[in-house]
Amino acid sequence: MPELDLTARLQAVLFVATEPLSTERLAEATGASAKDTLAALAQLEVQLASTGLRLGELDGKYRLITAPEAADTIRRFLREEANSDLSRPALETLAIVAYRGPLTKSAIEAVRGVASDTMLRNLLSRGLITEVGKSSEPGRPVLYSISQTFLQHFGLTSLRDLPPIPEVATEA
Amino acid sequence: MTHTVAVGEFEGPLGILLDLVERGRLEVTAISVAEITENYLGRIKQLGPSSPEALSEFLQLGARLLYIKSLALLPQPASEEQTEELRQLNLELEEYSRLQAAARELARRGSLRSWHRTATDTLPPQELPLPKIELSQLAEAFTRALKRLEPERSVGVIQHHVSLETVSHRIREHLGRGSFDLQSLLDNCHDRLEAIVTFLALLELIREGAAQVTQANQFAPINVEPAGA
Repeated sequence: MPELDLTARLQAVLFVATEPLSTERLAEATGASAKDTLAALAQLEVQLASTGLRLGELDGKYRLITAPEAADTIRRFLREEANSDLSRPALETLAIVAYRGPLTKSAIEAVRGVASDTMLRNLLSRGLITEVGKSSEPGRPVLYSISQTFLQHFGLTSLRDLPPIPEVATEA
Repeated sequence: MTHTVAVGEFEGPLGILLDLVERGRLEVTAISVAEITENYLGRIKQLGPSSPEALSEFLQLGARLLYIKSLALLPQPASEEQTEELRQLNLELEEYSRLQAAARELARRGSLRSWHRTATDTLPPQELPLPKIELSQLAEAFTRALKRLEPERSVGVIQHHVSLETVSHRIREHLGRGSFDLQSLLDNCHDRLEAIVTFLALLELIREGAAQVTQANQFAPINVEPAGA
């Protein structure tokens, strides 16, 4: 059997993995250096562009996900309804965490102008945001960040994929 | 609940303010602050009766607008403060408006989605080899289990107490005479509590290194013996 290159072997490992894998785990599995692994992952991303899969990445962890363009097909296959179940306040909060995170509850509330405990608890329980650590501010409040689930919910492969914030014309 | 509907329409106080500003195609400036404040307070009144908590969120911004408006009535030095307050409010409003646009952008992506593989186990579950058991053994085990279910022998008002020390001492005595079957030890217990205490005492003895347990194979009798035997 011909030897497979690193890119192909990484793809194989990512295929069987049931959770996002760090570069270290991938390097360990393939026996390659971290540097080579990263280069091969970049190559894999390019190769996948013409397939129904994408390389999802968050926080240096990778997982194979389906192409967002295949969403309708997969919904039909899974007999799922389109997800329009997020309320406007939920979307607003998610946008703040996605574009300004990681940030604390009080920072989120400062932008929204309303108390956001319930909203945050709701988004946490749906796995759309996660606690990523503690702020160094007094009281060490929890820092929130968006999750892999968030990215997949909106068909994004990584944070780089977030659409740029539309510029607002108003001048102070 | 008319209130929740109204709040749903505007995510919060800034939502109302933004709407007012966009509708009037004006900015929150010293000239327009009076008009905006009035409109804002008008909108809050429309929200109608609601919980104090919900209303307080809207009142805070109302108070802030009134404060900025009031600064205009004061002599000169206050105008600088008003400029600063207005600048700050505009900055917040801009940030809010920008993230609102981002939220709408996200909503537009609502139909897109990516899935990941959800298979939880790619390896076939390991099968436990079934021990060779005769039907008669099964029947015997069932009888033993039934026996344990029999009503308690002693029905009395005096509760039977066993201390860990007593039981521990009893097990040590047993051990002094050599190894024995765990089942025989448990069979001698008068009730469930004593069985539990016995079990705990045995675990303690194992931890101390005074006893050890062995089992020849799966489902075989568990043998208790002095440590090092």
